[in-house]
Order: sequence, then C-alpha cells, then structure tokens
Amino acid sequence: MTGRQQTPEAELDRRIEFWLDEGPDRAPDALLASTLAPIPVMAQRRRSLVALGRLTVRVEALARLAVAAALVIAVAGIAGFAVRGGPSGAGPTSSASPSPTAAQSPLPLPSGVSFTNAGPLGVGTGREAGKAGTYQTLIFRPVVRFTVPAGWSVNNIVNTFVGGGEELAGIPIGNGDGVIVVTAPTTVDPPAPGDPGSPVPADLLAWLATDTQLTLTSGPTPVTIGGIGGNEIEGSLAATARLDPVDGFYRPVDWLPLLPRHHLRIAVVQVGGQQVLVATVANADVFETFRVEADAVIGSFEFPDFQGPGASP
Amino acid sequence: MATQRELVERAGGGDAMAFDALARTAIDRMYAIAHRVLRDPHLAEDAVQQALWSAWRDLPNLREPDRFDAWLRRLLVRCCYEEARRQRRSPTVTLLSFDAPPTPDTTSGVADRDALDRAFRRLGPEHRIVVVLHHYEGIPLVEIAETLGIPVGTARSRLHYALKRLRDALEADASGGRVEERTA
Repeated sequence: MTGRQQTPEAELDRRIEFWLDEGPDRAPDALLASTLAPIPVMAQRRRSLVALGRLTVRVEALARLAVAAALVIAVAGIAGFAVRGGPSGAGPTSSASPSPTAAQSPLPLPSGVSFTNAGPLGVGTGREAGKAGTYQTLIFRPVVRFTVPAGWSVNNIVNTFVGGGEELAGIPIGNGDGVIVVTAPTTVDPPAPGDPGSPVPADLLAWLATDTQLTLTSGPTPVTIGGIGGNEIEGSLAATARLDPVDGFYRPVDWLPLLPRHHLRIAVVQVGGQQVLVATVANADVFETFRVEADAVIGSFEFPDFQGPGASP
Repeated sequence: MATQRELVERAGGGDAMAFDALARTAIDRMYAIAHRVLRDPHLAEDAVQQALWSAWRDLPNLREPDRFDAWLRRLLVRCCYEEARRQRRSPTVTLLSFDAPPTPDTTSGVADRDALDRAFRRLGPEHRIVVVLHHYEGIPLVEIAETLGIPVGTARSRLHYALKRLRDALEADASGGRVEERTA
C-alpha cells in the first residue's frame, strides 16, 4: 500500500493553469452592446456632482430604461439569441416562451430558490424547452444519470457561495408543468448564513412521514429508483402548514420549497452513505398528468457509482 | 490612433466614443476573469457590466490615467465580490450531456477538471480571485495585493491556502478518488 502521492508544486501549477485556460476567453457580443447602450445617457460622477447623489441615481434609472429598450431591440433583431446566458452558457440552452398560465399568474421569486425551469414552484417564466438527451451530474453527488425528453430542462440548485464556499445542493428537472427535485439533504431546515441547520434524521422518509405540516394520501410505500430500493410518501401541504413569512413557502427539507397548491411525492433511497431524496412536485390539478412524464424520467435514473445488489445497505 | 491614456482622458471628460473603445479592448479579459472567479456566465456578465458602468461613472476622478488597467481590474474584483454576495444562491448548469460533441481532452484530464472545479467552488471569492489573477492573468502577488487593497503577506497566504485546497483535491483524486466518466 502506498501513501498519498505528493504533487510537485510546479506540476500542480501547470495543471491549474491548464484548467483555468479552458474557460471562455471572449465575452458574449450582447454583453458589450448592452453595457455600452446606456453610456451616453449615464451621468459621470464628478467631484462637484458627488453630493448630488439623488440626481445621479435618477439618471442611472433612465440609463437602465435605455438598457431595457436596447435589449428589446436586440432580442427582436437577433432572434433566438439569449442576452443572458448567451453562447458561453453550459448545458442545455433555454428559450423562454411563457405559458399562458405562467403569464397570467406570475409569482415572486422565492428567496433562496433560483432555478429557472420550475414553473410550479413559482419560479421562471413557464415552459422552457431543453434538449432531449441523457445527462449525468458532474458535480452533484452521488452521481445521477438520467434521460429527459425534449421540452425538459435541467438546472442546478447551488447553496451558499460566500464564506463556506459553494455547494451544489440539488438538481431540479422540470418541464414547466412540474419538477423533479433530486437532492441529498444536508439539513432538514434551511440554514441561515452561519447556521449549520438541523441534522438529517437517520430515516429521513420516516421523519417526513410524521411531519404534521404534510397531509399524506399514501405511504410510506416501497419504491425502486435506479435499481436501489427505498420508500415514498405522497400528499400535500396541510391546510395549517406554517409557511415562511417572507416567501410563503414551506420547506420540509432544505431546497424543497412547497406551496399549498402543490401535490407532492417524496421518495428517499439510500445511495452509498447518502439519503437521496427524489421529489415530484406539481400543482395539484396537473399532478396526475405530470406524474406520467415524471415517472418515465425517474425510471431512467441510474446511480453509476452504486449499481448492483450491494449498492443499498 | 489614440493611445490608451488619451482615450482615458477623453472618456473621463465625457467622451462616450472614447469609453466605447476602452470597453471594447477590455471586456473580453474582464469577462474571462469574472467567469473564472464566479464560475457562472450570468454572474460574470453582471459583474463585468457593473464594473464598466462604475468605470464610466468614476473616470473623471481617476487621477492617474496610466493606471487605468489596474484601476479597472480593481473595479471588476469589487463587482465580483458584490455578485458573489448578492447571488448567494444561484443556478449554474454543470451537467454533462452525452449527446454533446466530445471535448478534446487536454493533459489536465477530465478527472483533474472535476476535482479542481469542485475544490475551487468551495473556495470563497477572496481566494478564487487571487488564484485567477496569479495563475491565469500572471499578475505578481505585489500587484494583486495592490489591486485588492490588502498586504502582500495576506495575498500570499490566500494563494497558499487556495493552492493547498486545490492540491488536496487533486491528490485525493489521485489516491483512490473516483474517475468521472466522460462518455456512456
């Protein structure tokens, strides 16, 4: 048995530099255009004007309007080019075409949730088409492989950035009607900055099944996901559920924001040493339709690192 | 053809065309830095845009036009910090599609990229920026310290800390860490 290999500093530097060189070296064209558009009407801060902060702010507000106008023109002129995201964005691209439902009932972006394709969770502009194909997580652990049809989008939920660094907390996979959230919870309540949150119970699903904020219609019942056995529950939020006073959501575990109008199904499977939660969430009135499509996606799940009979302890 | 100094002076006097020329020259480099620090194209775009707008607004108060590049870099770093703070939780797509055309592999390898990416994302922005400026931009630590407004010793210790984290990640990967699959 050998000990840990030491990486010589020069070799390490070389590998880091190779890695850094792999990123983009050119800004999207639209960025230059949208940045320069408001410049002619944007006030400069001369020393004599510093005291006139309010005036400057007003001029900046005008500048922002000019940006908005410029972007509208740019979008109209360059069909299909996303100003934000652009050609350098990784993963499936999306083209927003708001569904009537989303357009009629826009919802505020909930604090701490920023994935873009999860219409039923109150985020995004509705159905955003993604590219059909088989995907495998690159960062999220455990590694999950799955196949989505056209019209589905895949995003990441990224946890805190500053201080403790950045952690990938989960993957929302959605089609605008509903979302499948795959996460390996690290806490059972959303931690505030600097707050570690409450530890995940040894039997997460049993703990969820006793959550008085949920009204279960079935479960726990056995389920198999990616060849690994687990259990699942199904239901909705209780009428008396305590919603977050700020954003109106209830979160049974971190990164699973729920609204009273949602129907949900939560499965937990033990993958390696982690409890992986696979939640299917949609508005109650479309849940059964969404379930059919979601089951096909979940049915394609694989955990490549943990296949076989010994995978689940 | 106007020199950079002349452009800076004209832009500082309110010449938008001169600023246009300065921005066109700088924007690719700024985006490259911001993207590497923030690891997200949207955040990088926001940081670059804010930095250039700040530059335009404050150019009249730039006392040393010859220091424009370093000054602009300082604005960019500040905006990267602000983006990092503002977007505490943000989406980044880091999924690998099997349908995508294969990326030519480099000597760093897929496993390296994965390990480095994961380790880098665990670093705070103050550590990331030092790594990017030093190892991507090739800026000496003294100049980085000046850009960040911190002592040289602090810049050195931040780089040391960040490199140790990256080295640990690579070594953990080499000593039994799983190798990421690239194709089905």
